[in-house]
Amino acid sequence: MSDHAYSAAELTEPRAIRPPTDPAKAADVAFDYDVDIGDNVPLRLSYYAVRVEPRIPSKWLRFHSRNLVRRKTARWTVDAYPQGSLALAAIVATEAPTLAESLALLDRVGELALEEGLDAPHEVASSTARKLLSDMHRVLPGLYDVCPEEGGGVTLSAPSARGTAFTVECDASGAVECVVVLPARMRKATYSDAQDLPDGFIREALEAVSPLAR
Amino acid sequence: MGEVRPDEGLWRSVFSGTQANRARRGTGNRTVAKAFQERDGVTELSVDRYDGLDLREGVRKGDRDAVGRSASGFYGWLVVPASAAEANGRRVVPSPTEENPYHADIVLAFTDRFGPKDHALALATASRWHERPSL
Repeated sequence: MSDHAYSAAELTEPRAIRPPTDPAKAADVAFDYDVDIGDNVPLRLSYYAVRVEPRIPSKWLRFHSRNLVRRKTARWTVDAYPQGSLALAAIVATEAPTLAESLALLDRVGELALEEGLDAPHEVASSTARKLLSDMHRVLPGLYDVCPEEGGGVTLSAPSARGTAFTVECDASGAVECVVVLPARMRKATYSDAQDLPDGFIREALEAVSPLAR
Repeated sequence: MGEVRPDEGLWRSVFSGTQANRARRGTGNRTVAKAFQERDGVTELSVDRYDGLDLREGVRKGDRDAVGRSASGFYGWLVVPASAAEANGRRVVPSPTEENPYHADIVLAFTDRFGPKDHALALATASRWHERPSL
């Protein structure tokens, strides 16, 4: 299985452009976009692509540069295209931090517990968290925060857009408590075990807080 | 300082390097939420009303409090808008003292559904990080 996860989100409305028809006159096309992906960004690298309608061979459109996600302008060079106007839209494809990176944090949660004067994470809580982390990462890739709790519990925090949060607390008995915070509302679900998780609540919560869904 | 305005920021001091490091990347997570959680039974969270003020006094107070708590240091603040602090049944009460005229409390409202951890997460999520300035 790949160690990386990719996801994509369209950042701009398609915009009509009229590229030059003279092969000698390539034109730069710059897109200004406004995207707030929050501080809790699960992204390490990002690449810009364009959605092009109608479909054209890629030789007519090439990247001027690859930009970091925080920049507000993406720029491409459009070569001569004999058939007139095109519609372009910026898409960001993101390489999320690896699942392995999140699992490594989980492996180190015992050290955090020691620093905070808490009990070492219970084996049941850790194994539940490990299973859920892998499952949730498939729904929403990114770096999950891992935090020790009193009584040997472990809490996972999903990558989330600014103003949102989703946490999953796994306790020593195998029970799981999920809390999702969205602007102006908060919801909670509790489970006696993780056997049937992730369920619809968790999947919906992950989609709702996803930095790329907003 | 009078009544708390809905758009006013309430400044919660952070004394944990782990929480500060995490808050610099984003506040919607359990690690940062711990900054808004007191020991069991405590229903009031101390905050300061520093909006628009020279922060030097706040830094000196933070540094003093860090020593008092035997904390590793004072790192900065999580600033939560009063409007968000008052959501989910919470209240904000100005509680100035002679020593600290800027003091206020966020009074938590525990229910069967939502407890201290949940309120802490909601407050952290609504907050933004403000780094301790150098004096």
